[in-house]
Amino acid sequence: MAIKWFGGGKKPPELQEHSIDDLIVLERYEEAGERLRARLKDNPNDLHSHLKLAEVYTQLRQFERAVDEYGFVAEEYAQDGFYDKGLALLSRAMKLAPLDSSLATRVEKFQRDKDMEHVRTLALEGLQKAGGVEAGTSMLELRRLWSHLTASSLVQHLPGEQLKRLFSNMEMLRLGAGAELAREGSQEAFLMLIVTGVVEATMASAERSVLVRSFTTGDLLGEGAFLERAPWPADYRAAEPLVALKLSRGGLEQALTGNPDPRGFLETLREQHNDRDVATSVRRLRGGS
Amino acid sequence: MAILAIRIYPDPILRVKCRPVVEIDARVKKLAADMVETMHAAPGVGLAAPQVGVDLRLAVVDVSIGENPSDVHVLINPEVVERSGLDSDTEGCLSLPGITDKVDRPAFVTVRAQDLGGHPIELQAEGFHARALCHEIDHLDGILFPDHLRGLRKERVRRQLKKLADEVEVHA
Repeated sequence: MAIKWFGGGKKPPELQEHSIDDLIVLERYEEAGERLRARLKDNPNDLHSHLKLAEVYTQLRQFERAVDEYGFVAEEYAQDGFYDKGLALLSRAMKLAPLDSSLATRVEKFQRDKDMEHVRTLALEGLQKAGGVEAGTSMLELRRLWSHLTASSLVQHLPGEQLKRLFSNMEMLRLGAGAELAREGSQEAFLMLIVTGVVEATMASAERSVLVRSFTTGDLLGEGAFLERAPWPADYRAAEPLVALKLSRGGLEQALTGNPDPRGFLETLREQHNDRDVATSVRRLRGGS
Repeated sequence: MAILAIRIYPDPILRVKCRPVVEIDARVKKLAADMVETMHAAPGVGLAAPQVGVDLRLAVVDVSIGENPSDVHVLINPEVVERSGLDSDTEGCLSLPGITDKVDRPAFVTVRAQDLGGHPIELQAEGFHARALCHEIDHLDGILFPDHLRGLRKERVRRQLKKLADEVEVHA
């Protein structure tokens, strides 16, 4: 019994209770679990308590529950960008449930997201140079724009350093709805990556405009004119307000200067077959009209 | 003066967040004197009130362990107001006999407290002295040095704590 000094003060409720940590040390896991669950009821996002509860469930050999707790905390860590911590917890969970294939899937996802995090840092540096901050675009806005681009095939195939190199030599454009980007038959050489908005490729047919194809976030336009010196296969127009990154020939030269893998860089740009697809559609539509 | 019984882990008093000392009366002064004597007899370089079963924010520190009377500090309602640097060194505790481990602490601290006359005092300390102050002030918040450990160190100390708790139970 603790000596009571200055009576009249309220007795602290925990005076005669062990702490949760001490209950775990004393291997009184049931009591520790109860206290932790009560604590989590009041504060469901207390990650330390979730981790302790996972440990308690492990000691009680309630592995399924332990895996749930580890998984919850791992997700929270990953959402905050702490992928390594999340992966470490999933690894612990996998030891408890080696046959749970969903854990392996989550590990793969975390690993992918982690890799993308590195790419993101480099890409943002590139976007800053693309006229981002100087043109009045805040870092927050750049991050938002980047989040649109992550689904792009181009972004997924170019390594981070190459993305940074590409973006650094592009120009960020903001165009209103209806802005003309290219006319059919012209050979204006530029490459355009749509960040947000929609571009429509149309062709004139019997005094009316026929929509050939729509492009949106992450699509790359102009590789035919830019890399193959082919004419633009249709008219391209912004169907709604557009944010896009534009690469000129000068920009491409800069991006290739000192590039450790110029061939791979160009191949990735060439792999975007959007112009070729539009040209094929136009030929088919015209052939059939 | 008297030598007080030192509370040993897992005594729950060691986990209590202590109450501030409101009035420095004769009982507090006697407690402080007894704590200094207990600390020297142990021997130890610091002792906090919960270690002798009292849930008050009072600690005594003497890094000379009785060699130099000017090194004895009685700290009432102490708090660390500034900390800087990092120092890693081995630490033990009179309430955790036989258990030691390396603990990271600030290399420099400034502590504000009251003395037995109720006057505000400020101590600036570094190295081992800073460590002792932090350790004792931790006690007043129910924190023990193993709480600062992570990973394998924590696991190892946890086993030692269990062993200690079992021994305490046997002797109780």
